[in-house]
Amino acid sequence: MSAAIREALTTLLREHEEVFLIGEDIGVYGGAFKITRGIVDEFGPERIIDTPISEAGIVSVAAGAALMGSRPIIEIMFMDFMALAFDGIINIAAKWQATYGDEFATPLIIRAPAGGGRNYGPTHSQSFEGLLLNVPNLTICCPSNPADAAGLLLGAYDAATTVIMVEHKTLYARQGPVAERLEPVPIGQGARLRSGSDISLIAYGRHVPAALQAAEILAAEDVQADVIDLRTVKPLDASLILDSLSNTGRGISIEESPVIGGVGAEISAVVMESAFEYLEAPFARLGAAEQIIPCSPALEPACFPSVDSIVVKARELISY
Amino acid sequence: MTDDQLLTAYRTMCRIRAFELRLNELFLQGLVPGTTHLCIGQEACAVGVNMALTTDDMVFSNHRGHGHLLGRGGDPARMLAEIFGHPNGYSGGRGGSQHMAVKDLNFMGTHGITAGTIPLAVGAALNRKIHRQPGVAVVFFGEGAIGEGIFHESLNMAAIWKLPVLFVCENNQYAMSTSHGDISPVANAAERAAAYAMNSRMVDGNDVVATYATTAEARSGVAAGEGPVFIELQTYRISGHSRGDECPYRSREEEAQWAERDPIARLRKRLEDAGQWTAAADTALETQLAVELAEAEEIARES
Repeated sequence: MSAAIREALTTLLREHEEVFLIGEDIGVYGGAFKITRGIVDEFGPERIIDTPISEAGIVSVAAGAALMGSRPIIEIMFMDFMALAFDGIINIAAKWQATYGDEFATPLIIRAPAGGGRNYGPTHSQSFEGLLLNVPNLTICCPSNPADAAGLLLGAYDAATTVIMVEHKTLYARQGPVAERLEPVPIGQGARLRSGSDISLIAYGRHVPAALQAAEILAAEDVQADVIDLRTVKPLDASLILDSLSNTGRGISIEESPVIGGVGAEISAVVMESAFEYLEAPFARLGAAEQIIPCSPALEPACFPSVDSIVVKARELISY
Repeated sequence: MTDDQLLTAYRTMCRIRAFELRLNELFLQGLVPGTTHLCIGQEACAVGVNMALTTDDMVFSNHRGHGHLLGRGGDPARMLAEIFGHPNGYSGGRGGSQHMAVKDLNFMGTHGITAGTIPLAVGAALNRKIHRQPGVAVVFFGEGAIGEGIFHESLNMAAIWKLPVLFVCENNQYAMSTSHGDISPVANAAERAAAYAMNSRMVDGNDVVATYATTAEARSGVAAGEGPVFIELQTYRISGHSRGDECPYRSREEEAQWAERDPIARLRKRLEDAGQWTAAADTALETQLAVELAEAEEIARES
């Protein structure tokens, strides 16, 4: 997925002179995850801007530039560090245009490596999409594969609003087909990756491959799963979710953020509001545990959904 | 400042004062929703700085921004409409007193988060630098904003990238109820700039001539690419922090001392001493401003 993101960033920089990249160590170093490696060679330090360690400043300064017509693409080294930049995200980027009018748009793309699975511990493993769902006017994308990661970046540019791009760090190494000429993926559209009529597995990011694997195991038990890749968690593709649930009557959401007040909670509410009569079992949520994310390889996996936990929960719902 | 500029400055300062006093009356009568932060006593800051700027310059304000916007040429009727929450307000009634912006004036916004607009000005200047466009970014903030981390991040970034920003700190002595001396280990806000190898100036912000001259001089260097400048304007918030503030944290003696340095009274005396102004002219101006304001209020009410 790294190469696809790099290609999308390069494409945007080439095609739009108002685009610049800004973040910590994104120039010669190429970013903590080497996503921007080599880009500075083509575009120079004026458009690939290395900053002090100032996440709040990075986001709000970029918003100021956006206000005057720039299209900044920010990298926050670890999504955990985004907590330092919430004023810029919540009180500026999500509000300026809505408050002052369309002449005051502050379109930002904020990329953030996120999530667990790498044993980085409590402050380098979080994923804040659940937390950010509660902020009006934010768009939140969580790609699961190289083509979507690139396509959503282009889609985010076209949408010209503030988009948080949650890039699960374990997916950077994921391979997958990418079209020779990148095409934007429209914001807010999920994808059905597998059709089935018994249970809906609604996932995003790194849990999409896990859901597909779980679906294979369930298929061997004669349970056909409908696998939905949300791609964008805000706005949710409610029609796709409802289409799936009205067909299966059973569903599980699988997310990287904690379940309390998270993405699954929102999906569950959408289902309760609009597909209640189709339900044959309670809607179930899988997500990060209500605890810090421990560093130890012996402890960390239990924090997150897995192929096994998806299969176990699916069996439970099927036999409900 | 030329004689004409002095008269313009005086009229604008009086216009701001009249606006704020009337607004206060309306608030006390319960005729305006929400809260408001008046800039009575700080008119010379708004006017002296704004008069030294060009139309290309981008002005960022804060929660106490009526003077900044009026000084930039804002329409009192549309401002009042915004404060009343009416559709013809600058933000369609969504923003109220603390959230007004006017693109045509390059007035980029009053804002309700302390220090929130400081990084925006830095970003606007970054945009100007990348695209080699004219104009400098100017941001007004109070000395209370120095307590916020984003203040320091913003000054640092502006300094390392030598961005065209004028940081204008209106030190009105109190962050709401807390005096500057209680929350700052350094006496003057301008001393903060040294930590970022940034040039700074300290000015009597109740002297519109000094404020104008310092801003104009600093602006020319900033516009020439010499890097940002920090200006501290020493002033005093004659009004309370916001609606309902009875100022228990400061003495009546202190208020009286600062009242003697009222920026409008001082400029009037200067004009009178120079034979440019008379008591009759002042009465006429007062009447004129009252009529203008009544008209603006009527338009705002009906909008």
